[in-house]
Amino acid sequence: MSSQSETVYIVEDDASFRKSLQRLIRSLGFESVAFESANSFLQADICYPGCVLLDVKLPDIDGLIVQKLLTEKGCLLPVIFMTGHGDIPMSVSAMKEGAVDFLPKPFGEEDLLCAINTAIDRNISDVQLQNEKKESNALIETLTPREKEVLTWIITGKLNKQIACEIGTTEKTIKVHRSRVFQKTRVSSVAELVRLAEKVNISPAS
Amino acid sequence: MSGITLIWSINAGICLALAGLQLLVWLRARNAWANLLFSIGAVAAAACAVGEQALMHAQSPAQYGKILFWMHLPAGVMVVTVVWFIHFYLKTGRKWLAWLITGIRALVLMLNFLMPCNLTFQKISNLRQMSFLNETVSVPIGVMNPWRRLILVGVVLFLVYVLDATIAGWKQGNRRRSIVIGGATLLAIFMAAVSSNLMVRGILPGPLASMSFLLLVFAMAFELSLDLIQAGQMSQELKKNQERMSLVARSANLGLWEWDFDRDEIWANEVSRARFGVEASERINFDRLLQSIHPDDRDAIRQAARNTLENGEELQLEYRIVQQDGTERWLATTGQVELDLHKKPLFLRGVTMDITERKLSEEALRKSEQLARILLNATSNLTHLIRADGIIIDLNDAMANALGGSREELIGTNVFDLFPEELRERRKALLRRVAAEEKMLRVEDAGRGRIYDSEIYPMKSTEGEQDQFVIFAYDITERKKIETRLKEEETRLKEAQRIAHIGNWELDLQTNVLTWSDEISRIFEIDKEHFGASFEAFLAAVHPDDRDAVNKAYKRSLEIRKPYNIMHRLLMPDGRIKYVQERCETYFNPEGKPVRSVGTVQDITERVSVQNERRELRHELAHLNRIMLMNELATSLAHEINQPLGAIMNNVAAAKRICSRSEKGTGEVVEILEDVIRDANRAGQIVLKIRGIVKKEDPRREFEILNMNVKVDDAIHLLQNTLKINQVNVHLDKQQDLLPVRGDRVRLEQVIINLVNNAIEAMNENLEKYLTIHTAMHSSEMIIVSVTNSGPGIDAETRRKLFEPFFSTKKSGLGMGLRICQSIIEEHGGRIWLEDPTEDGTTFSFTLKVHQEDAA
Repeated sequence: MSSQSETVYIVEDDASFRKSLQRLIRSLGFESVAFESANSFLQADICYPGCVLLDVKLPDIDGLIVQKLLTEKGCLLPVIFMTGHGDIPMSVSAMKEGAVDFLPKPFGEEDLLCAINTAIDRNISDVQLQNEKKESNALIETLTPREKEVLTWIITGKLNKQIACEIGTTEKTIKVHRSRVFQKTRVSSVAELVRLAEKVNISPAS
Repeated sequence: MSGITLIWSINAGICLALAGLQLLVWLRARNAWANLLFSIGAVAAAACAVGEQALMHAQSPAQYGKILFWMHLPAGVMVVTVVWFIHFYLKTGRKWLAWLITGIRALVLMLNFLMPCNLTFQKISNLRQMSFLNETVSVPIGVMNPWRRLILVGVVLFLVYVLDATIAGWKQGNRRRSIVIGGATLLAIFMAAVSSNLMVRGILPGPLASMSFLLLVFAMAFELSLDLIQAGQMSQELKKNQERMSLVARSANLGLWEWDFDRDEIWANEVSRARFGVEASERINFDRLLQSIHPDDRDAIRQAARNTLENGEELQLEYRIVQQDGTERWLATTGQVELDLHKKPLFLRGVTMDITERKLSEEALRKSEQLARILLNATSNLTHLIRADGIIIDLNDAMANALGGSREELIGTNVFDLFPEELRERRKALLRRVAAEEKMLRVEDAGRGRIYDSEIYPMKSTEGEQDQFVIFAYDITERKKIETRLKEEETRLKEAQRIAHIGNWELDLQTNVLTWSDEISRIFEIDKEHFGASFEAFLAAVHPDDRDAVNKAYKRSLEIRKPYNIMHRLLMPDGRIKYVQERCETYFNPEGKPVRSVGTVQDITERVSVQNERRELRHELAHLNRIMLMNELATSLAHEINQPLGAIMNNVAAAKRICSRSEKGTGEVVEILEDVIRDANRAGQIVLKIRGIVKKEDPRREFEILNMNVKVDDAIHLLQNTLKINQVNVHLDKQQDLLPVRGDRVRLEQVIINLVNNAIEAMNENLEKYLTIHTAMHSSEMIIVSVTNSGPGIDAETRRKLFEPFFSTKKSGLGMGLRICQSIIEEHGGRIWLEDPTEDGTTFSFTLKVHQEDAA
């Protein structure tokens, strides 16, 4: 958990609150970067693992929109909302969009810590998943188009003979393709291959 | 005496007797030429008879020749008279032949007188004695005269003439006369020819012409005698006729008269005499007649008589006579003049009638016609008499004026020409109906820009005449106009009453009769068919709680003599309540007694209920406003407090951690910090609690589907007084196909009201205030509402803080208005903002999500 420094980003226009929050977070043992506006936060470099404490009411961009923009950017940073109003309809839509928590001001140390931990855990697993996906993609990319095609047939569970018949070639060729695919994707069974295909969103041929 | 002498003498005697008889007839009737001719002929015949007798007794040839010489004269006369007798009596025979025969006879006579002996014998040598009728008579012996043939020619012509005349007479129908006269003449000629031959042959002593002549004389005398007998009979008849005539004249009161000019004597029948007051024995002449005649008419009579006498004109006169007792009578005379051969007037004959009655009735008729005409002309009705075919027979001045012509010009013109084509047939049909039904019909029609009410009366027509009609046309244009205007005004009043829901009533306090207009029945919902106006009906409709007040108000107004004006309620049978405004005024007579109350009742239910409704709405709005204000205050307060509170708590938490990490950190500091946290937490809880309490007060949001255009209208309606007072020109620019939104009616209205109120205040200093509310589709999912004012605009600093709580540019403002708007709009998923300033002014806009069925 603490193998890498975990950063909590703060976006809060109230200077006094921002400063106090930063202090508290640091005292809790996290790195903390604070922004007074949404725009400056959106332009900043983000390091994982981490999370963001986002005030719902920001002078420039509404907090909920900031959340949307992050998702669109492909940023994996989980969002914890803070609000001085604590409106329920707003929190519902925020949670729907994937917010980790919705903290009404003033909030206690425990609530904050709990929310941050949850958020960072989610961030770590998200990042890992993303990395795996990237690796799998890289493996698939090593395949020739023909091998990819054969792969889609293999994961249907069909025999070489059947596949050869389907795509109009000999059983022998298919056999060669199959061994190549197994080799390149570093799998040892059809089941593993299926899991890999699922990861990279390759669906069986039909 | 010898036989010959006896016979021939008798012959001559008879002839003379007949001649004398007929001469007498001629003397009495000078124009009886036939009778005169007969007389001459008969005398000649007698002369012939005497001559013949002398011939037979002649002693010497010379004597014989002499006698024969002279006998040619009566014989010629005889022939000529017979010729002309036939001409005059039978009225036939060719005149030229008659003249020719007359001429030949005259020539014969002339030759006879020129000859030495006579025309029969050139020379008589000797006389022969022969026996005839036992007597010795002398017969001449000598040389015949060759000219004797001329006599023969004459005889032949005579024969032809007689035959022709007889046939003509027969053909004309005078058969007997023609046969007798013609036959006798022919027989006589035949006898004369035979005897002449016998004489020449010596069988007869002489021609014995007198015998033939006697036959002729007999025949002629016979006819003339028959005529005489006939004339006698006729005179009998005539007498009878005259008697009849005078009887008729008397009974018909016809005056007959005859004026003999030569003698200036007037014959008059009894009727005439009585009329002129003349005794039966008195002789009348023209002057005597004139005396009886009205002095004024005498000249006219003289003139008429002169004209008649000079020109032979028929006399026709109407004049007055003055009777002995002084009374006047009217007479009418017609007469004809009789002329003699020289066209000289002989008589004037005529008939006189008493026409007094006729004259009187004519006069009466004339007077009544005159009166009728005066009456007709005195009226302004267009009166005219027409035939069924439309020809004007008569008309009055008014009609003539209306048609723009004189009476004379217009008589004979066709009244149908005045009608337009399409009306003509209708009018003709109407006339036929009037004629058929024989009664007056009225018809109203328009023409020449005026309206006429016509009465058409049928006139009894005599056989063979067209039906006639008297038409009285009244010009009712003005009346119609007034009627129409009255009707229009009445309709307008009714309409006005209906629209304004005002009814009027009138109570006659003397007869206690109440009348009211239809609108009152409608307001009171009383079936007018079944219930008339009555005070009971009125009172029954008044709300029981208000009856006393109504009664009192009326009584009081009678006491203080002032109108009253009250509002009260009506209770309908179905329990509905209506509000009416009642005004009433009473009129008093000079003695101070109330005479008549008039009043109006106005149904103001709608106004009252609208007022009530609006009051409620305002109340609701005000309440909501208050709540929302508190809510917003609490929220803002919470936010404002929570923020520093949060900071405090964060800081303390951080401090506590730092303290607990350092070994030196004593428990007391941590304790203090924990206390701070607890108190901060408590403060946070209190804020939360307050918010909770306020939230409970917050009325539940009632989301419904709304059209923002309607909400804009409603808001403007609520604010109309404020807008009016501030003289704001409102312009609404609404998109017609605006999609509906889902929201809370009252809250959204509040937003618009707040924005409009702000706008009005912003334009406070403006002279001209323009407020525009614009609605449109912002995108397919959002609608936009903009409120623009023509105020001076908002400076940059203010702009920035506009939506912050407790920010206000107004002295008394809380600074929550826009805040509340923002909350409401955001609650509805929309946004509110201030647009960049444009030349139109300052604009606040907000968006709202369009309602989607499936998203509900």
